Amino acid sequence: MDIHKLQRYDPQAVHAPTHALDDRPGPPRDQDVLLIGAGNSGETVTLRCQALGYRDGRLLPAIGINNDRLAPRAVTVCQDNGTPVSLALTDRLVLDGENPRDQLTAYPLLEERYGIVLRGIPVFETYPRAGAGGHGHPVIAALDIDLHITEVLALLRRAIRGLRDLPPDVPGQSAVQRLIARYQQRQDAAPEKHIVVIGGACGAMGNATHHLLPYLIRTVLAEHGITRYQLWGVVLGPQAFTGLTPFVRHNYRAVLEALEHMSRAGQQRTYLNDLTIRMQRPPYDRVFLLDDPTLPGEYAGVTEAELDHFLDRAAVSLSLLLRGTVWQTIASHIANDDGVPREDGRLRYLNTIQGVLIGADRAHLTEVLTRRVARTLLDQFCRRFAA
Amino acid sequence: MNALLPSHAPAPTPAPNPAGELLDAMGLTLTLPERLLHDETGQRFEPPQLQADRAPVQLLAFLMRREPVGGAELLIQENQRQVRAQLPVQLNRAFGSANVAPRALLQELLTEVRRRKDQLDARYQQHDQTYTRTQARLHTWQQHAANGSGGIGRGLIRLIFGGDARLTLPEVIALWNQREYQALQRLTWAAACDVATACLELVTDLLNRLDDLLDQAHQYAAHLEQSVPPAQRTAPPAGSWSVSIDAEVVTEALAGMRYHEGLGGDLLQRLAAMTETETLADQVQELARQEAERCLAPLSIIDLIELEARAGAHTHAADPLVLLGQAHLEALQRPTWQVCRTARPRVETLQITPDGTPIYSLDGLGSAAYGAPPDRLGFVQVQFGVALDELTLLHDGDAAFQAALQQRNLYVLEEMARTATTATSEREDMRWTDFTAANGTRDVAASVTDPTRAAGAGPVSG
Repeated sequence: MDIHKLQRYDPQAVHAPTHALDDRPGPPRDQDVLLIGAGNSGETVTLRCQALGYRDGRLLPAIGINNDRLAPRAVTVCQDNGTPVSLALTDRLVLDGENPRDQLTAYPLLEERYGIVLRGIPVFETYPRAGAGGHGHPVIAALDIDLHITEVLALLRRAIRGLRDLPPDVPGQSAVQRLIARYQQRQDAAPEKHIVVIGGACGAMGNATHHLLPYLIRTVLAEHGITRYQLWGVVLGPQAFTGLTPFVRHNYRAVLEALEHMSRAGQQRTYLNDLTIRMQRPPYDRVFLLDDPTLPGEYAGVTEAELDHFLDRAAVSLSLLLRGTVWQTIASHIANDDGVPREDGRLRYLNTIQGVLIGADRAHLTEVLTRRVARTLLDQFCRRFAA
Repeated sequence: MNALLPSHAPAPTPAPNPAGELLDAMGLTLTLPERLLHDETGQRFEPPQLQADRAPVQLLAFLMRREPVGGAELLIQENQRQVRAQLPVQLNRAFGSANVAPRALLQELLTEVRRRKDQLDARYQQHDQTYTRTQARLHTWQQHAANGSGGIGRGLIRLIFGGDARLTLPEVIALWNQREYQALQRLTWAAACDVATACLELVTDLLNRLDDLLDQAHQYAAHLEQSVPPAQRTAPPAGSWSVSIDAEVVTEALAGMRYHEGLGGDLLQRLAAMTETETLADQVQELARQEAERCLAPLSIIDLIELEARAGAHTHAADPLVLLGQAHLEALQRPTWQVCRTARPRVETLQITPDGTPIYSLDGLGSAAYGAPPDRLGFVQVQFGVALDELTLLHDGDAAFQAALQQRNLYVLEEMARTATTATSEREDMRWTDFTAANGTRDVAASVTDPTRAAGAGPVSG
């Protein structure tokens, strides 16, 4: 820590009015995208993607799932009129409560499952600090999901309901007219939905989420009759998280092996609420691995600034993929063979993305230029009229 | 002797009189009353005139009118309104572009407007007196004509041959016509006087408010100098673009361009029309914002980038847009994962422009649209189709991973944990067999904690 770089904290972001998703009088809600942030880094990238969308005049629906009560730091963005607004990820499910390992005995299903899964993990490391994260143990975060499966499904159902293209209710419209409007809309080709699960693979919650949430999401999407969709997994790490816990690289490798396993075998899993998933599908339609192999910099572990910068870049890269015709263009290109032989039979589903975005804040530009013109005008006025 | 000869030197040119020229341009001259009589097509209004050949009864009805028929009132009012409305516009435009000092010009104007107003007033007085005399004569005649007795016959006789006022019919008709003409003159000169009064009030008001406005201007300028735009107070917030156009630099570059020339005049016009609740700061702010929006409206993201680039030291360097593109394409080469040398991922690189129209040309560089808003430009590179074992992580950290796996489970999925446990047990058994064969004892602690002994274990397949 270089103490000479200590600066005063700028509380401006904290003072800006914070808006929740539901009461925000901001841009229109995008009905074709859903961002799901899991764990601290996943939630942070999700919020930053949302901020980028907000600056572009669209509200990307986003939810968070975590077993850490600490929400990602609010992000200040400017509205069209230049007014700063502090965006916070408010629609989040925090899985906390009693020591999850103590609850295992109450559920034979979980007791049997976690008897194997918790092999070698000392209780000292998983002793409850409820609501303060899984401390690098994905197994504990998975247990949290298992124990809170009802709440998790409720969160997903609520979020995915927003993806349905229900025509807006017109005042004075009768029930029959509403029904006809919905039926007519169903006849049209529904736009493809993008559900993006963003989470680190090196900690607890993001890692566990990449194992369990994809199939729960597919289940809820099927419940809502949504068949035209792309489910993407954005896996963050491992270099960017170096030094955060002792298990960073191991957890990362374990999740990649699990994704490979599920990409071959699908998933069969029973939850406490009697939901049984039997899917012969890969967890994600596309997996994007995002990392910065140059990290950490000068220290043994990543600094907060380095991590912050990495998460910013991840958000820019990901949000670019979700903009305009970017993904459509890429999809049309990769539909054709690039001529490189890859016939070894290995599964090739891993991708990565890197993006840069140059932006001009026209409201701020106008503000600065207005001040400049005003100063010129005043100067002219004073010079001319003082004589 | 030559000195006695007539001089051929040119006559001295009259001293420039900006105030007089300005008032001439504004139309505040002795010809203003005449201008007020013309309609929009240039047609002059002519007052109604009586002819003796009208029917006697109809003629009598006109001649007995107490007040003139007129008819030009609406035209004069409209013309007067237009001239008055133009006064502040022309005055402020003159202030905005004139080379003379406005305060001095205002003082000269005050003197000149007063002088012209006096002239107009004097002429109006003359026309008013003339009209009043004519009106009095006509009223006298009308009174006599109306007071006479003997019925209509006698009345007509008086009308035709002259009554007690000793005016014959042609004389009365001429008098009546004269009254209409003079009433029109009186009306136009009164309207011109009103215009002059309005101009005088405007100039006086401007002069009186000048000091107050100057105070306000100094205060607002100091406020602008001290306050800093909100976005400048902090570093770029999280969740921002990779690169932002620097508003200060662009503004500096734009300052080199000329703002709208009439801006100063527009400000004066606004100040003249300002209500009591408004301030100079409001007017300046609003006008400056309009001007800023006008300046920025035609500039695309490309223009803004070029402006910012050219404002820097590299004015004569190569195309700044190309340099910027190269820098960003280079940035895309920073690795986002670590793959083996043998891996050959498929790579797609796109430039992302507002509407998808390419800005750059390069083999292998595609193009896609960002969509609204138009102030964005980006590049994206996606690498596809890498297999799990092409990631270096799987090879570099394998030994440590296997060692850790012996101590504890690292998998979330039950089936993977079970497989890993089985594999670990088998390895333990093999190690036990090997060890007992060699030493006859079992070193449990060493087998668990020494990662080098576990390094030979093969990868655990999911």
